[in-house]
Amino acid sequence: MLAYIIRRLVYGLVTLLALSLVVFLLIQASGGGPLDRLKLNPRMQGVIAQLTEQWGLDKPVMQQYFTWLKNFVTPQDVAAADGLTVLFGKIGLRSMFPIVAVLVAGAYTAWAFMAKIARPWWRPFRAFSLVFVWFVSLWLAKSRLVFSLSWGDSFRGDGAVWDNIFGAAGATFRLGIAALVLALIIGIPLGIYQAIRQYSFFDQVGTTLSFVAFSTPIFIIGVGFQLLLALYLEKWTGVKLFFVTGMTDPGYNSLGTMAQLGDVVRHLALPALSIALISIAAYSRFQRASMLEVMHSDYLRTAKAKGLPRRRVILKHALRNALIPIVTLVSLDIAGIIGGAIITESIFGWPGVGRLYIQAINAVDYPTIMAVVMSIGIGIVVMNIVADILYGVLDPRVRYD
Amino acid sequence: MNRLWHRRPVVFGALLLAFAMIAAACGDSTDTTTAAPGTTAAPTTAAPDTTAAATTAAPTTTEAPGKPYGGEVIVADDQEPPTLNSFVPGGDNFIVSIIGQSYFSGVQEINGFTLELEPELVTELPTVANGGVTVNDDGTMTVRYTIRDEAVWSDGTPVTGGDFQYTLETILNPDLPINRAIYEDIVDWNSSDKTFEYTLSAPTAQFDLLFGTIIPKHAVEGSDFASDWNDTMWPSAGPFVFDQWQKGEFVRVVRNDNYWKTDAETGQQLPYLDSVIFRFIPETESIINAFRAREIDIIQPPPATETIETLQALEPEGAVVEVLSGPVWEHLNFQFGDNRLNRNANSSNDNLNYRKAVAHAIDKDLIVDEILAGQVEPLDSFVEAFSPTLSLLAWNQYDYNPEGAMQFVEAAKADTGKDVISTVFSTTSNNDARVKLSELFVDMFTAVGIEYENQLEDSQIFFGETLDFGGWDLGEWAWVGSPGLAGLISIFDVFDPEAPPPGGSNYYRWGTPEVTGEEVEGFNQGASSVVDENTARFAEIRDLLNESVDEDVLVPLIQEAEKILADQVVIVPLYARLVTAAVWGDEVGGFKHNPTQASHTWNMEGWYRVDL
Repeated sequence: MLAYIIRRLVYGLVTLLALSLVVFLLIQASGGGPLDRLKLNPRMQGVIAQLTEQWGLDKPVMQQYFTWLKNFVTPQDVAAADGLTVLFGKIGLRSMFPIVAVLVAGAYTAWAFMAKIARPWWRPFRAFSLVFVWFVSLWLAKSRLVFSLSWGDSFRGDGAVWDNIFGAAGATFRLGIAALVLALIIGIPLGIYQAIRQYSFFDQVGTTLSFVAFSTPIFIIGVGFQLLLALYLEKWTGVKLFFVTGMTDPGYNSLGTMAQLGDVVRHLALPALSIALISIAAYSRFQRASMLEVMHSDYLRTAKAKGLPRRRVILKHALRNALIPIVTLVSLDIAGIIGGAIITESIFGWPGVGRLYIQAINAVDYPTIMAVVMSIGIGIVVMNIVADILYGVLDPRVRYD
Repeated sequence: MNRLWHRRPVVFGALLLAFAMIAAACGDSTDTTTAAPGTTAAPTTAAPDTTAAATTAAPTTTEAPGKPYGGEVIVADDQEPPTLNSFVPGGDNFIVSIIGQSYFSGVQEINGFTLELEPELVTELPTVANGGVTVNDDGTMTVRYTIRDEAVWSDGTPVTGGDFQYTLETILNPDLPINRAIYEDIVDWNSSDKTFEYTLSAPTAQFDLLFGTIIPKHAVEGSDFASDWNDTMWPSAGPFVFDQWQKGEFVRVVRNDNYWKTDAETGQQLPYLDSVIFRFIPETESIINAFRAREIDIIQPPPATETIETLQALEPEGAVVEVLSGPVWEHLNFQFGDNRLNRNANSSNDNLNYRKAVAHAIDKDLIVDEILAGQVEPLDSFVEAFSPTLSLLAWNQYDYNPEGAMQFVEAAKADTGKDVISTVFSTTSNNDARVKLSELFVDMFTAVGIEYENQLEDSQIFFGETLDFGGWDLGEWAWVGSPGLAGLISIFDVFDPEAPPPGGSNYYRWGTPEVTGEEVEGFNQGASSVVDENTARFAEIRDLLNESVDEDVLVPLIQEAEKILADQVVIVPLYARLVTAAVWGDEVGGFKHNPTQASHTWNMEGWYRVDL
């Protein structure tokens, strides 16, 4: 198992290196540079020369790449001290960090108890590792560890790339998690119900709507929700339930706790629903197909023949196996959260990583583009490994050879 | 309750959904907020103070006669500033100056009604006539500013000549990547409490755009200028003070209680509003929807005709829509360098008859109708776009005349000995208006017997490589003009036959000499295919324009230069891009759009809520 994870991590590292090189070269080959926008101002020649030298744009491409790579993996700041909470404020995940640390420890605990490892060293190792993981997680949560890499300064002029990305990550996670949870709690039960009631009116309608949602561009869905649920709903009812754009009201800080919560939900609802709608369609289709396949299997027929209650057959015997294909889909969706919902964030004026990415592309801001791409890449590699491990948890037949 | 329990999956689902929304909502939304030093994020609710040196007593309540005080206005834009500091890289973005109108202040501002420069922090704009500009015997030129007695920073500190001097010294600091054009020609300066004087190495009209933003020495001295003022802002000399920047969402500015200006109409202390919020919404469609939902009070959307028509449909509900010609002017142009032959081996750009044929083949009225829905008139001169009173309208000699164009084509064939005259048109493919233009050109060129082909490129390639190396045959893009003589002279500079790229901006290579020895191979090219008495005279005029400050000398030279460019058909001005702004007139008063770089926020001190 450990060897498998290490092997996958090495493969992942090679993949990420290849990804970084290809993307860097593609950006260079795509034409244009970060200073092109200054060219049409005849007075900016001096500034262009100064910045070209400062940013190393006059160096050979491969030299630029290796400089970027060195900076990308070089820690700039690793510390754990109370006085650095200000910096944490900049990074933007201050309030989430304890939650993330505890969630990671919790996930490891769950896996450790579910994994079926019949080796003599496993039990003591599990006990030791659980104590270690929880200790480190709680220490990290309490000390609010500051860690940053030297990802350089944005060519747009908006400061350190690390700070910008992690500053936007909070908004992206908020939107992504809300959309993912919505999609999971609607999409998966929908798929199960459609499978149980195969070819029923509900199934036919669900299938049709899924295809409609799946094939509608997110831009249309987003703008449609803006018009329908924010603009016309208010006109028809006189009540403003949702906002067209933004993550919070400018007066958010002066609101009470409940009003703040309401404000956040009213801003979050439409973008989360827009993303979730497509995921609901995807999850329900996959879940339906997977469930149907399982429900026609021999062992389920046996379970029914033994006289088990229908609810138990479906929930205990069918669902667990039918969830396996969904794991990959959801894992990749979680990885996709890091990149942000690029179009959705732009439509709803959501201050996340996706919007940062668009701004970076428009400004040919290499450091930011590379950082976002690599963050997504790392997310996908890690989540693929997590998905493979989860296969083993869900299906004991899967072996890590 | 029992029924609920039987429906527990639904109830649990609803609870889980609610929990998820709450959990997601509980993320820290203030992480990326930056606030002004010494201010709080909460908007001020205090009535306007009366401590400023106003000419009339300021009202202290919203019951005061005249325009009402208080309230907030929300302005939307599709760009977010990378930095608030207009001097450093990224500070040249338009949105920085749009927001900066609230707290930046300098020597001059552009009046949105007259489009003329007016004094801001100084008592009057210096001219030769008022003694503010002196051409010295040694060939240098001295400019003198007298600062208004009432001008103070928002912390109450008076604006002094020392602030002007500090601004100059900051700009000239070689360690900072700041645009130093013209400033670097200043050879001497001195300041006193209420005056600032500097000497330029040679007379130039360009001085009238200098010192557009003054930096408060007492607040900025000792800081790291390149990094300390990106997320926050120094004390204001404008109507508002920076308060808060919620990254990715909005910037809020609040009333400057020490603002010195009063309303010329009512005599009331300015500004009227408590605060202004600039919201950043990247998608035009969303900006329009937010405006329609009245979440936004004022917008300046990209001026697509569909957008304008959508906004104009809101006028019965109270929206006021202003559509104006802006300072960004699109033009058709010819490449005269060697690399045009890589695009079109049969290029005839060096032939004047061919260029005249193109000028007559273009139906500008149709272009304006199709691209701008006929909202404005086509241009007969680029000077018309930003300094209309100085324009000769020199291109009006080229009316739309297909028959005349055909005669010029035949003359070009005779001149060049070619059987076929052909054109390859290049511009940016990711600009809808330009793509539409290329489609319109197909019929226009074909109709006059010119073999025509479109080769459009992504803007990154077009502006990144094609423009630098002159790799186009017939091209199209836009320049931005500035009002005033200095702005006009800057535009003439780009046609300078003595300034080919990479050092100069004559991308057309009209009259340029051979370029050798450049590191990047593409810049090395032979002399322009057009070098004649006209290019020589233009170079002479360009030098003269940059040596004089006497309007009586400059205006005839400007007009002669305009005539040469038109007679030689170096370019063909097409149209000025529209600028649009919309405001809910039943909510906000005092709004007037300014089509120049001063933008729609130029007079925000005069905005007020009419619904208070």
